[in-house]
Amino acid sequence: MKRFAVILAILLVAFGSIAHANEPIVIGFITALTGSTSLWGTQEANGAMLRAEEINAAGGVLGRPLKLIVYDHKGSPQEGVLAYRRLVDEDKAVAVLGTHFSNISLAIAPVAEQKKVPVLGQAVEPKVTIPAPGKLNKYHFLAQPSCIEQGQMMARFAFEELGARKAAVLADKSNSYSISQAEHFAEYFKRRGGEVTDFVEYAAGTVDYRAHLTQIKAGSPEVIFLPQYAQPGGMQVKQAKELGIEATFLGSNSLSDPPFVAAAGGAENVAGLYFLFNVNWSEPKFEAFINNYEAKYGEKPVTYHSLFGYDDVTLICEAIKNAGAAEPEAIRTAIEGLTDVPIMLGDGKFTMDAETHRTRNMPSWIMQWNEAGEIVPVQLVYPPAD
Amino acid sequence: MFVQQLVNGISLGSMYALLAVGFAIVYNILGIVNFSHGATIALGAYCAYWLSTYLRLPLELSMVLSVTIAGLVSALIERITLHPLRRKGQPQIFFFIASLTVFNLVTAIIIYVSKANITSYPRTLIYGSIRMANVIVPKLDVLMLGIAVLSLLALSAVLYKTKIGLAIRCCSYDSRAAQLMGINPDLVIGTTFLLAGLLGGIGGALLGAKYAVYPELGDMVYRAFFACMVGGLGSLTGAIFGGLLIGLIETISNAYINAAISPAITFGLLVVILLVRPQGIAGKLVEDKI
Amino acid sequence: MSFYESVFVNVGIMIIIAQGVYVITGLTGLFSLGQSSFVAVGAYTAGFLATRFEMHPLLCILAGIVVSILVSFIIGIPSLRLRHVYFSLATIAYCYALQAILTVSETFGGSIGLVGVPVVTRWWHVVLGVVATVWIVRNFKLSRFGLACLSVRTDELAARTYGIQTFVSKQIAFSLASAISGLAGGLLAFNLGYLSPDMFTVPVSSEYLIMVFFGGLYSQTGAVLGAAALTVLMELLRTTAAWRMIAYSTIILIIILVRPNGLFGTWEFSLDSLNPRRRAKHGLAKGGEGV
Repeated sequence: MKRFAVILAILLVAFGSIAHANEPIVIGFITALTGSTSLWGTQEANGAMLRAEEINAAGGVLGRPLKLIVYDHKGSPQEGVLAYRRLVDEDKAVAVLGTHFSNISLAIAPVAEQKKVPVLGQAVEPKVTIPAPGKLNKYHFLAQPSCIEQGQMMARFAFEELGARKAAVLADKSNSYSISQAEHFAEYFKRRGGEVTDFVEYAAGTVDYRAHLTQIKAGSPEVIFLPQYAQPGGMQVKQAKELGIEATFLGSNSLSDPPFVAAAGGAENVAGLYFLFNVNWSEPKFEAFINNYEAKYGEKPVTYHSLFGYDDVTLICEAIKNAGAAEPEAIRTAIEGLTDVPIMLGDGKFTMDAETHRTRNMPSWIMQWNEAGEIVPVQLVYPPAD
Repeated sequence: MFVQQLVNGISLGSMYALLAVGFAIVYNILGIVNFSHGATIALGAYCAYWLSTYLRLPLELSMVLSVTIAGLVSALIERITLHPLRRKGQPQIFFFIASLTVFNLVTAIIIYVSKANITSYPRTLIYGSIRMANVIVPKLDVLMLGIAVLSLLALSAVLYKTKIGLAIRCCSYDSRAAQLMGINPDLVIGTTFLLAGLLGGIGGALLGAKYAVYPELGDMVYRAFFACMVGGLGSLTGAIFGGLLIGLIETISNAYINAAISPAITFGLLVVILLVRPQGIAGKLVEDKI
Repeated sequence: MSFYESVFVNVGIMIIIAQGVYVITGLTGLFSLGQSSFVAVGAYTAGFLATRFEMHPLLCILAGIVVSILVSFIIGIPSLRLRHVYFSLATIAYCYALQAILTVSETFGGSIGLVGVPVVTRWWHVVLGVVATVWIVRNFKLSRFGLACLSVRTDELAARTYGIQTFVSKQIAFSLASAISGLAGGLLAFNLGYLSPDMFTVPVSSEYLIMVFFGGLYSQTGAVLGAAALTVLMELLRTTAAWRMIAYSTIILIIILVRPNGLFGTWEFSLDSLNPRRRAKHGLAKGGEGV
């Protein structure tokens, strides 16, 4: 066994990266490069590498170049933890960026507490930073509004702006992104005096939602909330149209992905659907980003995840700059104090809440798909205070 | 509403049935559990998408071409995996694992090439739905049921009216005796995989039209496996019954019990059916050969 | 815990899982595609006891093993009556069902998963686990029960004719495999500190099966080294980014095609083979058909 461990060690050293002399600041990035979610992962990594390049071209951070190491987690929590350990132990990363998957971030969080190298991710599950009431993971930070805020923002929009009083919800019970948003949507909607006609949960791997949708249709809701990934969301909208459901659809940020429109069977099916979105691509500040991205990768950014990667790098560099040293502990403290950092997402300003290690009052956009298959901004909404 | 749910169930079930027949033909004739069927399903959907989007071929033509590709790939998979294993006289159960690996490999390649993009065909295959009182039946479902039945008829025609069909059936009874009678086993097995691949390709292309084109489409093979076994050994019609049954159970438990727990109910029930009728619904009990 | 140690721990856990697969598939000839759900039973039991009652990890792992054995009877008594492929089918059903149950159960954290399990597994825990497992499996293989299992694999009907209680033999092997998976699950829970239902799916079970095949289905040594080699390979391929899964699957496929019996075929490592005198005495021809 011991001999084997030695062989293993030699092999891993041989394959590990070799440290360079110019002492770059090493930042790790964990994302999905293989598996069924690798579309998002690749976008995220591309955005991050683009930003790192920009920063290096402008002289780096603290006068040192930035070195971004991207590792694959292929959608599995074990793999995510191994990637984190490898980044921290082997590559000597001073901070790790990613992931936007709650399950993987939940697995990395306790390890980060032991290793004391901060993680800045985009997961939406509040348990990533607060595993139990009153307990805070000191080394984990999230840079996206939580699923509570996202569900509530959508519910308030439906209740106040659309004047809806009867809503139905269809959620993937096996996906915490989906079910958490759904629960907080329903909870807020009911609290405001609305009625939730059906709260339908389904299991992973479902492709045919007509049984669920037929049930929802019977309750004749005015709005149907679909907190979904692009693929199930698209199939649900398509099948709902087949069944002649006329209600207004509401969705989560993943329904912004172009594949959603394809999976839904075309622009005419998704027209009129409102969804919550982290970004308003039509703002002029994105022009440069899109052009630079296209120049580097030969295609326009496909999903908004490219901005996750881009902003993650921006934020961590700001934190390192504020910390004045590329030391994990100093960076951790600096992330806690990030205030009004200019970023791409939301309203373009980022403030970290030191109490929750999540964003403070970060707004999202309500967007709508039109008949031409374009995204039209409706309004900017802030998380409800109540 | 119940009638609508029944229609939903039958439409889902007919999809499973089509996939199950392709799985069943290999299992019944060669006794091989062929998970690479999942690879041909996914290929059927993706090739139709690639052809119709990048080469701008008409959708129907793309689907026919992609079915052909899926069939050929299936025969190729047999040639490079099962064939050497057979030559070395390995138990066929080894193909169980080899086919799982092929399935993983093809899925990985599809994800790499498509960048895990979820997508759909450039246009809907057929629009509209038939409306009877309160019940809505999409025309696409009717068309798919029709294609499923037609493919099955074509398959039986091949099996029962052609020489190669006779050879295939001969091999399924006793492959050694068949060899002694001068039947070329390579040809027979290759043809069987070709047929299975064609059916998988048809299933995949239609799944793509009905739902969406996405990398995990091949995971349907596990449902097909169930449909084939529950339907009954030695019977292709059984596989159809099996598919319909799974579709119905799934839909009913989704609608009336709890959709999140429905896999537990569906698969639990299927195991109970297998315990009560180990030969499957339509199958004949095959005693062990000593 | 350093990165090497964590890879080592992962390798160890995989070796233990592979031993379980070896017992049920290699020895007894039953293809289980639900082995990951026994790992899940062990892991969730241990994780639940540790987070809810703050019990000692060792007790939690033991409880996980016990619950795995209990579950193996609940699943085994009906499904072991099914033969050949039908058994695989039943295990797939069980895997899907358990995943759905874990997903809806609020007690076990639902889809968010079980958060807050202490991360305490160290390399020597895993070494102990591996040594104990390998020793138990080796003795089982050479015992009366192991030989009965082997006869079931070779020809179940003939075994029954010779008076072997095939059902009992299969159940014993199944329970042993489950206990081993339960142990691995417990170690996994305390290694990762987090459990979610999507870590224990049918494709994960098929990966375990592939690992054992890679090393050599009929060789215990093969199961150990196959699991170790593939876990390390997966880690080495991390730097290949998007090519990773293609490279991994291709390597396995080539090995299966070139050496269908796996890397080690039916060869077994034994201490005797290191000792030249005993080696001469026994002759070089070791072990016939995978005993």
